[in-house]
Amino acid sequence: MEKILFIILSIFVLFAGYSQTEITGQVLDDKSKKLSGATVMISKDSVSSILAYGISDADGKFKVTVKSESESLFLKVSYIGFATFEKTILNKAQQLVVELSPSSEALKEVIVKSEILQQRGDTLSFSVAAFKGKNDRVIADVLKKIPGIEIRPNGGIYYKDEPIQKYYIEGLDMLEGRYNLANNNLSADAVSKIEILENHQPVKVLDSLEFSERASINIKLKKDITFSGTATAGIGAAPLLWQARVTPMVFTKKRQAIVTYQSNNTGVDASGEVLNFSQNFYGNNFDIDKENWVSIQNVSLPPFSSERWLDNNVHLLSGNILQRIKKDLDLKLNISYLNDYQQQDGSTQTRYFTPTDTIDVIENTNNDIFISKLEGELTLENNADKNYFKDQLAFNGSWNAKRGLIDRPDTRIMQQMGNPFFGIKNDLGLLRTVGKQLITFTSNTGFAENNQDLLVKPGQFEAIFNDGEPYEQLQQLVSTRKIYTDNSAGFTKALGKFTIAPKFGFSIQNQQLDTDIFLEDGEEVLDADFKNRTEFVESSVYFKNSFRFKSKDETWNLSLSTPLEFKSFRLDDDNFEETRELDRLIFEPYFSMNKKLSAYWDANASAALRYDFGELQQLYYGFLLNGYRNLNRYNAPISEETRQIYNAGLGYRNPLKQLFLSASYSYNYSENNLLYSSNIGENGTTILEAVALDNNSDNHSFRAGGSKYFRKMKTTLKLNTSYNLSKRQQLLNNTLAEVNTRSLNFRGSLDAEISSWLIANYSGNYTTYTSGFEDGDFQTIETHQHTLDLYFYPKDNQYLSAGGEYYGNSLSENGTNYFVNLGYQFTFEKPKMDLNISWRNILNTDTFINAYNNEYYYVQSSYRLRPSQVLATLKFTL
Amino acid sequence: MKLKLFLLVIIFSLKISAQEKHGEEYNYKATYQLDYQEDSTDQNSMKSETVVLYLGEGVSRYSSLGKAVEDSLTATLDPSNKSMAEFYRIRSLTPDTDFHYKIFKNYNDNELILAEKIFKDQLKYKQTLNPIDWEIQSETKEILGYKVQKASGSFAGRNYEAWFAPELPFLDGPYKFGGLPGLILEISDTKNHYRFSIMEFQELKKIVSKTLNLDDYKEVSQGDLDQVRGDYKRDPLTAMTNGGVTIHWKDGQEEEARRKFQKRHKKQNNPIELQPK
Repeated sequence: MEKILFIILSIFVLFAGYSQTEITGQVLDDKSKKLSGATVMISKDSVSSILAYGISDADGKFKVTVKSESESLFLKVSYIGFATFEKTILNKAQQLVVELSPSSEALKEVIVKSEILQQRGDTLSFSVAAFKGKNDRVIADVLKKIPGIEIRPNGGIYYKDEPIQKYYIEGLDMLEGRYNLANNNLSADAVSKIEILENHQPVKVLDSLEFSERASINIKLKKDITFSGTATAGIGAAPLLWQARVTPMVFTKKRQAIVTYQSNNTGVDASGEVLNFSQNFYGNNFDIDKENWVSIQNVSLPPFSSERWLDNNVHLLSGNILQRIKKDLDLKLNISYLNDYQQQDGSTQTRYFTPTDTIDVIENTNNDIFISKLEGELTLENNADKNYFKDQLAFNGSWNAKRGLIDRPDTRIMQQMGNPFFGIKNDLGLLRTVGKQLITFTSNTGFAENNQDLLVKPGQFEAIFNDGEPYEQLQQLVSTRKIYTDNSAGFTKALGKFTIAPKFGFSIQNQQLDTDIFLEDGEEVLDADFKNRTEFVESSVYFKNSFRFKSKDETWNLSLSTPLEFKSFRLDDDNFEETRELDRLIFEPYFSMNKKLSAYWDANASAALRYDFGELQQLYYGFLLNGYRNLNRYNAPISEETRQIYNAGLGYRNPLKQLFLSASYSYNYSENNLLYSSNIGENGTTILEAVALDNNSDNHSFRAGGSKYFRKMKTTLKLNTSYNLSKRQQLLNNTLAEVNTRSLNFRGSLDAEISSWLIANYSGNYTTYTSGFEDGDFQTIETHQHTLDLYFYPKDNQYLSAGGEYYGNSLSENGTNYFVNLGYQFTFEKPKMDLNISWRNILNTDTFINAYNNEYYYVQSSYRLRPSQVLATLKFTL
Repeated sequence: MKLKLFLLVIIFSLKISAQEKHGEEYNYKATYQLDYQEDSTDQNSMKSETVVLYLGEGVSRYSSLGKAVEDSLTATLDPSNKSMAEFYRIRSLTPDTDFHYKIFKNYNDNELILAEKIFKDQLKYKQTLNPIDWEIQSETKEILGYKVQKASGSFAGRNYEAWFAPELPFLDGPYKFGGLPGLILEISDTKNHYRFSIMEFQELKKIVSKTLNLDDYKEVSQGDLDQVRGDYKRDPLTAMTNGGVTIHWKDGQEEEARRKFQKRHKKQNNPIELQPK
C-alpha cells in the first residue's frame, strides 16, 4: 500500500446554496516542493465525466470553479511520476493543500509496433507519382524537379552542388558512373521511388569509419522484373536530317542490362550518353588518358547549343550488363563504340603584339574530322560488411584522323593528322577491417601507347628546314609509350567525431617519347635539335595524413589536410649527354574554415600551398611541330612552380526580404623557375622555348553578386560582377615583357511570371578584357550578349517557346549576330508520345562572329553555323 | 605531434560548447496519424502521414515522423556503431513528409517555439501556450482502451473537437494543441480537413534527449515564416539558386519545371491555420 498523505489546513467559508463553487488550493510533492502543471479535475463521482478542471501554476496553486447541484464532489489530482490523488469532498468553496507521493507505476501503453528510429545520414525518399508531370517520360525528367537535385548540361547529377557518388538501380550499380544512359532512357512509369541517400558511404567496410559528404541516388522500380526503355525518331530539313535512338533495358534482382543505339546528323553530341561520372574512392596519380602531341588548326566553337553549329554524322552503340554472382559479389561489363564524321568551316584573324611589332595572320579553315573510338571496362566487386574488393580492367582505343585545309591570302596549306591510341589499365582496391581498424591496399597499373603524325604541305619554317627556300612538305612523327604503377597501403581509424587516415605508398611512371621530323621524299632531319629520344621517370614515395572534423552545431566547419611527399624525377635523352634530375620533399597543407556569424551572415576563408612539376609535355629537348605554325621545345631544367592560394568570402541571405548577397576575394601568387619565350615570325609561325630564369606571377580576383525577388511582380532580379587582375612575365621575340591583363564582367537577369500562361526571361552580359605591357595597354575588347526567352502554355499538353539572342563585340566590323529560335511540344495521351517541333536559326544567320583576346594576341573568328532548319521528333517509351 | 594536440584542443572545446546548448529529455512518446485535405476544394486530395509528440517533464517536442527521423536522431547515435544493413532497414521505414517544422512547448515558460529549416534558412517564432479556450463537454468514449472526454474550442479560424484522456496527465496534444487535463488523443476540425488520431502511446525505455541549438534559428514573426515557407514551396528553384546552387537546364526545361511547382503550389491551399494570429 502506498502512503498517501492528505492534510486539510483550513476549512470552509460560507456561501453554501450557490450552484457555483470555487475550489482553490496548492499542489506539493512529498518534500513540500511546489508542483506546477498538475491537473486538478472535479467530477460528480469517481466514475462520471469531468465537470471542471484546473492546472497548478508556478507556485503550485490552482483554482477550479464548478457548477453542480450535487452535495459532494470527486477531486482528482494527477502529475506525471506521482500517484493520482483522489478524494470525495463537499460541494462548497474551500482551500486545499494536496501532497502527492512519488509513484513508479507506469502509465498504460499502447504499442502498435516497436520501432526504434535510428538514422545514419539522411535519406530522402520521393514518390515519383508526386513529381511526375504529364509530359515526363524518363526518370531524368522527374529527377531534376526534386529539390536539391540539378542535372548539368553534360548530364552530371549534382545534389546540393556536389556531384553524386553512385547511381543505383534497385541497389545495384551497373553503369559505374555512365548513368546518363539509364537516366535519359528509363521510363518514369516503371519507377516507384527515387531515394536520395545523403552522406552515403558506398563501401560497406568504410561505413562507420569514413564520413561521406556526398549523396547517392537509388532508383526503386515498381516490379521485380522490369522491361523498359525509350525510342526517339526524328526527321527534318533542309538538307535531310535524321535522329534515331533506341534504348531497351531489363532489370531483375540478379541481372541488369541496358543497350543503346543512336544515330543523328542534327548536331546532337551522342557521346554524352556514355560519359563516365564515376569517382574513384582511392586516389589515382596516373591514368591512360589520350594525349595530343600534334593538332590541326581549329576555330573556336560558338558558346551555344551544339545543335545549332555541329555538322556531324554520328553512330553510337553501347552495352552494359551486371550479373550478381552471389550475395555482395557483382560482375559488370560496360562497352561502347562511337563513330562520327564532323566538318568545321570558319575563318580567323589573329593579331600578335610584341614589344617591337604587331603581326597579323588571316586563315580560312576547313576541317574534316573522323572519330572512331572503342571503350570497355570489366569490373568485379565484392562489397561485404568486413571486406571490400574491387578489380577493374579497362581498355581504351581510338583511331581518329583529321584533315585540315587553310587558305591564307597568299597560300593554301594542307594538314593531315592521324592519332591512333591504345591504353589498358588495371585498378585494384582492397579494404579489410581488423578489429576496429581498417586496412587499405590499392594498386593501379597501366600501359598506353600513342602514335601520332602530322603532315603539312607545303612545308613551313623555311628558314629552319630549307635555308629560307620554299619546300614541298613537313612531317612530324611522335610515338610515346607509358607504363606506370602506383601502390599504397594505409589504415583508417575513427577517434570519436573525427577520423585519421595515414597512407603510405610509392609510385613510378616511365614514359618514352620518340619524335622525328621528315621533309619531302622521306628525307629525315638528322640534327639532334629536331629529334627526341626521351625517357622520363617519375617516382614518388608519399605519406599522406588527413584529419577531418565537422562540428555538430553547424556554426563552425574546419578542415585541414597535411600531405607529405618525396618526389623524384629523372629525364634522359639518348642524343644528349646530360641528365636532368630533381628530388624534392614537398609539403602541401590545405586549411579551410566556414563560420556562420549570425542567422543572415556567414564567412569563409581558405589557404593552400601547392607545388607543380613539369610533365613530359613540357620537358623535351628537341623541337616538336605541334601545329602547322607551332614549333616547341623545352631545353631547360625540369619546371618547378610553387603556388600560394588564398580565398575569403562573405555572404548575406535574408529570406524574409528575399534578398541574397555575396562577395569574395581571392589571391594567387606563384613562383616559377622557367620563363617561356615565344618568337613570332612574320607569317604567324611561333617558336616556343623554355628559359631558366626565376620569375613570378600573381592574380587578384573580386566577385560580388546579389538577387532579389519582388513578390508583387513575381519577378526575380539578379546582378553579378567580377573583376580580375593578373600579371606575368613573358619573353616575346627575345624581349622580356611584363604582360598585364584586366577583365571586368557584369551580368544581369530578370525572370518574370507575367501570367499563368506566360513566363519571360531576359539575361544580359557585358565584358571588357584589356591586356598590355608595362608601358601601356594595346587592346581592349568589349563583348555584349543579350538573350530574351518567352514561354507560352496555351494548354496543359502543349507549350511554345520563342527565343531571341544578340551577340556583339567592339572589335569586328560586322561583329553583330542575331538569332531567333522557335520550339513547340505537343503531348499525346494515348498512346503516350511527345511530338516536338523545333525551328532553329530562323533568320538563317550563316556565321557566328566572335572576338577574344589573350595576353599578347587577339583573335577574331567566324564559324559557319547550321542553316535554318526544321526538325520534328517523336519520343515514346518502349 | 603538437599539431595533433592543438587540433584535439579545438575539437574538445567545440564539443563542450555544443553540449551547453538546449538539451531536453523526453520519456514518453505519442504517435498520431494525421489525415488532412491538401486542396480545400477537392475532397479527393486527402493525404495522410504519421506525426510524433515526445513528452518530458514540463516540455514536449512535436514534429512529423519524417522530420523526426530525418532531423535529429543522427545526433543521438554512436557514430562508430552504425552498419549499412541497419541503414538500409531504417531507410525503408523513413517516411515522406510535407511538414518540416518542429514545435517545442515549455510549460514552465508558458511558451511554444515553432522552428523550421526552410532550404538553408533556420527560422523560428515564439507564441504563448494554449491559445484555445476549451469548453469541456460531458460526452465520453473509449479510444484504444483509454477513457476520453470531449472538449471543444476554436483556433486560427477552425472549430475543433478534441478527446482527452485524464489518465494520461499531460497538458499536451499534437501540433499547438494542449491545455486540457489529459493528453489529447484525438482532435479534428468540424469540416474534417485536419484530423489527428492516436496510434500509439509508450514510455521510452531509453530516454530520448534532443540537442537542438535553437539559438541558431533566427526569430521572426509567424507571418514572415509562413511567407518564406510559401515562397519556397511556390518556387524552390529560385530559392535554391539563391542558396548558391547553380542549375543548368536545357532549353525550356526550367520554365516547365517552374510551372509544375506553381501548379502544385496552387493545390496546396488549405493550411491548418486559416487565420494565423
